[in-house]
Amino acid sequence: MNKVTQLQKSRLFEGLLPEEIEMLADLTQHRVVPPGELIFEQGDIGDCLYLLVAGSVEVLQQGADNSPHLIARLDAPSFFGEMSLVDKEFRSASIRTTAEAELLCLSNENLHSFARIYRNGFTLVVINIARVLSARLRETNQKLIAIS
Amino acid sequence: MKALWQREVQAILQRQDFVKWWESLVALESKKEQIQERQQELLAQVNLMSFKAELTQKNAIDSLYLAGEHEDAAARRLAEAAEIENKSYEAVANFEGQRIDVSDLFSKMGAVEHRFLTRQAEVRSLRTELEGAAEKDKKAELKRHLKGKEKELGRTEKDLRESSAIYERENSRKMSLWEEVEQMWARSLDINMGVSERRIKSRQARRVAEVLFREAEDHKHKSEALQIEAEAAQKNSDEVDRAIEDQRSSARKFFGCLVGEEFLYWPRREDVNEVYCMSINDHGEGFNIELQARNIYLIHRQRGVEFIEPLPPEGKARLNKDHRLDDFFAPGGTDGGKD
Repeated sequence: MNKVTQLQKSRLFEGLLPEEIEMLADLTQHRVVPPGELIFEQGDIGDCLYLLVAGSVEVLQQGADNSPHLIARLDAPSFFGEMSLVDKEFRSASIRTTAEAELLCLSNENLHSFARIYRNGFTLVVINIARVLSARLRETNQKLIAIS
Repeated sequence: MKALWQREVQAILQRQDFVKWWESLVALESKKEQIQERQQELLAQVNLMSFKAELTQKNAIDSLYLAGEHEDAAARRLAEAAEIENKSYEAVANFEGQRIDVSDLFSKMGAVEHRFLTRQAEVRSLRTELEGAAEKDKKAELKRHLKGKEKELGRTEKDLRESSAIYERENSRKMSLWEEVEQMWARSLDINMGVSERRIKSRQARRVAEVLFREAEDHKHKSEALQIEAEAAQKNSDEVDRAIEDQRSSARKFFGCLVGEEFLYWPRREDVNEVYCMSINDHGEGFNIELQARNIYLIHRQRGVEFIEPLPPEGKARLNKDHRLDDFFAPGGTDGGKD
């Protein structure tokens, strides 16, 4: 698998220079997860974001009855776990594979390495994350307005 | 140890003597891997063969015990058969005695029957004579005589019935005694057949035990031979280990680096707190990034290889020339609300 190509496809790394993408490729780790396995659980400490380059996952959140509720499905190419890079809080949901998934993991620490060398590239990554979060917030607001 | 610039480290890795050194190291590592694989295989075979030897020996001993058990069972049955045969002689003697008694009874019954038939004929004759008699005195005499004979006939008939009943009873007992004799002989035959079967089984179990003992010995010899081969492989592996160690150590002399088990290190001239490292092997996992053999990475003096970074581009003067963020933050800049 060509990590550079996969990273170039992601919205998270839009606008980055080729050498920045190359360094990020060096900083990511490739993982293959069989179907039905938890990648992380709600409440875990978040320390990396995941790019889903193949396969699919489901996002599960624990309800009041303590049972997991499906809140979204993600198909490749996609990403998740980016919130932990911003707020460094516990995971807000669990992620479980529904098919064999190929992932690229980028840890906070490795992202920091990137930031020390490519400050502007890092800022762009953060802006891209903020854009995604902002889009999600707008979407949620629209839904709330529709409900009210 | 002299601190080097990044380009100097990269130049070392390009040198012909480094390439040769590297190829020799890779060849030695590959040889070591092959030897270790073979050694592990041999050790597995040694264990397997030892286990087989033990198991086969245990089975041989079990088989030998089984042979003994069959022999014991055969001996017990033989004693039982002998006892039955002795009892059968007594039973035959009883039968013989009964047969003679029954034969006597039969003769006696024949005599009684003869007497009965004679009396019957006499009574019949007297009755005929009585019917033909004309004189009164003669008739009275014949009547008295007939009466006496009829009484005698009655007694004889009773005797015949009794002797016939005795004969039937004793004859039945004789038959029963014979049946008993036959049953004993059948039981004795059955046991004798069982004895021979047990003896055959015992011999078979002994033969199986002998074969298994030979097999166990064979497994032991094989295991010993494999152990010798595994030890030779271990010796060979030790030699290759020493050669690898020598090869690694020579890197310090030839390329001015520190030599670790998995990495070569050069102090970084650009920053005294940092060190260049070259991974000797590929590492897909186990480190914070995926490492490729013969690639140079950057580490901090304090954290070492616990945190490895890819090499930064030489001369990071890019920051001042990069206007992407200016574009983003400028009014009407990059489409920040596109999502």
